[in-house]
Amino acid sequence: MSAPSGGRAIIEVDGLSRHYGDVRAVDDVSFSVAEGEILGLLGHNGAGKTTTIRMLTGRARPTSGGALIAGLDVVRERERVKPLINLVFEEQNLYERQTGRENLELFAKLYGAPPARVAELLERVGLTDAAARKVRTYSSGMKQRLLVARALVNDPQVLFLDEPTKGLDPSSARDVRGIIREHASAGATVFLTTHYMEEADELCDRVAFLAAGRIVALDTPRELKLRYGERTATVLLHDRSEHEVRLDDGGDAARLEAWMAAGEVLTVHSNEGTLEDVFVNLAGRPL
Amino acid sequence: MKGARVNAIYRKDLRDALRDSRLIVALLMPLLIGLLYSFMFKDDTKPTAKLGVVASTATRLPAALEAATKAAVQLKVQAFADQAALTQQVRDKNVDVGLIVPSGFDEALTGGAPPRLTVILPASPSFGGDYVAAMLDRVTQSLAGQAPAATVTRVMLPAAAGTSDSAFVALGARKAFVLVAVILMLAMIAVYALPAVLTEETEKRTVEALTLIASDAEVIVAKSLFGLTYCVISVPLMLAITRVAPENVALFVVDIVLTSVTLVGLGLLLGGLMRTQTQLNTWSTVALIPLMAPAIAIQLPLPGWAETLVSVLPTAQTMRLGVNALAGRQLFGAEWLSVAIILGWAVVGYGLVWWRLSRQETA
Repeated sequence: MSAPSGGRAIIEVDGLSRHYGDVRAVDDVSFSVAEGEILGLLGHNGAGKTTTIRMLTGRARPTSGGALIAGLDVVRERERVKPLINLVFEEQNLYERQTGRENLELFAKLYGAPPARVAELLERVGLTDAAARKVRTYSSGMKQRLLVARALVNDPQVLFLDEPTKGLDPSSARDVRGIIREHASAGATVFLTTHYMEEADELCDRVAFLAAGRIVALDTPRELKLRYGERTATVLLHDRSEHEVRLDDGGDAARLEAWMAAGEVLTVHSNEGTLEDVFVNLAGRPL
Repeated sequence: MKGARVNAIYRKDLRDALRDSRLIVALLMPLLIGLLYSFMFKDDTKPTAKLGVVASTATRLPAALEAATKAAVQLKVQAFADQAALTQQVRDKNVDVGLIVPSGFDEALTGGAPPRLTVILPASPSFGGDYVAAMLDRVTQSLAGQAPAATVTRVMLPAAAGTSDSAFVALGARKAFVLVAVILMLAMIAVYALPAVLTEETEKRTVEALTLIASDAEVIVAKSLFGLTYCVISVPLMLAITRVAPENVALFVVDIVLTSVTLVGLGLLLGGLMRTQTQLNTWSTVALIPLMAPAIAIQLPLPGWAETLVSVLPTAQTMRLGVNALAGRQLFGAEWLSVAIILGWAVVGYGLVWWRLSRQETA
């Protein structure tokens, strides 16, 4: 089981698998997430990200293995786990004929949250002015913010987000990321799946790469980039020609040294490996 | 199970239903059909006919016709000043049959001279109009003092209890068809309104958000309450707008409540099976047939095997109990059996819903 660097583990996953006939959607996955940590799960479509979230939120039974949230079994103690968690779904599954406020009021009642929580959340996601409008009149970005507000209605210890910024314009995506970061900084644990490497890099304390149902790497973005990423440098010479050199390649390093000795180098920009490179190295193709 | 959660989902569904044009139409359509039946049919079991007469001198003919036809038709006679006015009224179907009686008609008949009598009928005569016109020969012969060729004795058998005849005789066509409209409304709730709510939750995956905290049972109970509320509001509304009052209110309430509970169970089952609104639109029409057919078939003469087949369906028993309740008499016997059959369907419906839920929870 891959352990977090510090803090008490609030999510503990051990040998979790879900098979549909011969298809191993999730195959013997183990990891743990510390309290207050943001963990990102990255992978291609069909890699098993959503199935993992479905099992952790008690909406699908594991074929084998298990998971604990706050020490409670997600299958056997599902009813006790429910109030501790919440989820931002991949689909914008809101009640479109109801207003934004009515949507939040419904879930506040279901979770037994105080009525004042609704106004507080509307304010937090910037929807106070649109609260009395029916959701079908909302833009995609507004709906996504309302989805996030709905998932925060019970102030969950563990917040799951399935592709929270998918299809959003950069400004709306930035707003959503801000709300997630704010919730995590208040001590909650965040578990998110995403297709966006920059998002994972910016938000996540640790990142897990999932390929064909198995975790192929799990660590901090920085460590992953150092371990699997390629260090390169872009060299601009006096003759205005530009060259990409791999710093870990002996031949390229000698070339760079020769240019330096000859005084031909105008500028050198070193490039750290990206999570995208790491993913390509590990999964064989880009996201 | 938490009552507060059930209540929150139930209230959301009610509020949503008021904003959902599909559900409003599902309620309005049977109401309008009931209203239409109420205008089309009368409480009287005998058909009525209006006889228009133009006669320049006094004649016994209208009174004699009224007497001769009273066993089969309720005849109303109206005098007109001239032929043109009467013809127009017949054409407009305000009058079923018109008679132009010449001056000195009665005297000519008794004197043995054959007077000319003109009968005006519309292009498609009503049963009453046709019947009155057909009786004219016999009545004029009688007025002329001629003995009939044979003495005809008409024996009308009373309707046998438990048959469609007895229902119509006891209730009249209007009440019988309003009862059919009530069953149509309950069936529409079962096969369309309630499944539409469930299917939309499944299709848009809002039900997954609900069950993140609520249990499947809490969601199902809330939906059942929603369906029952729909029934409880719509049936009295139908009775009010059609001015139909059951003679045996207690039996009618038992009948409607049992049927509502049963059909809501079947609606939950149907809603659980449908994944999309398109699927529901296709299958709800098919599902409506076995629910509506018995309500109509009970009023038709059926061969024994067909009657047995129909009588095992819940709405056939709803119709039987409903007829008894509206008439205030036991026209259909074995009411306990009707209750048992409806309850049996409730057990089947809810049992299957429960079975599906338990399978879903272990999936």
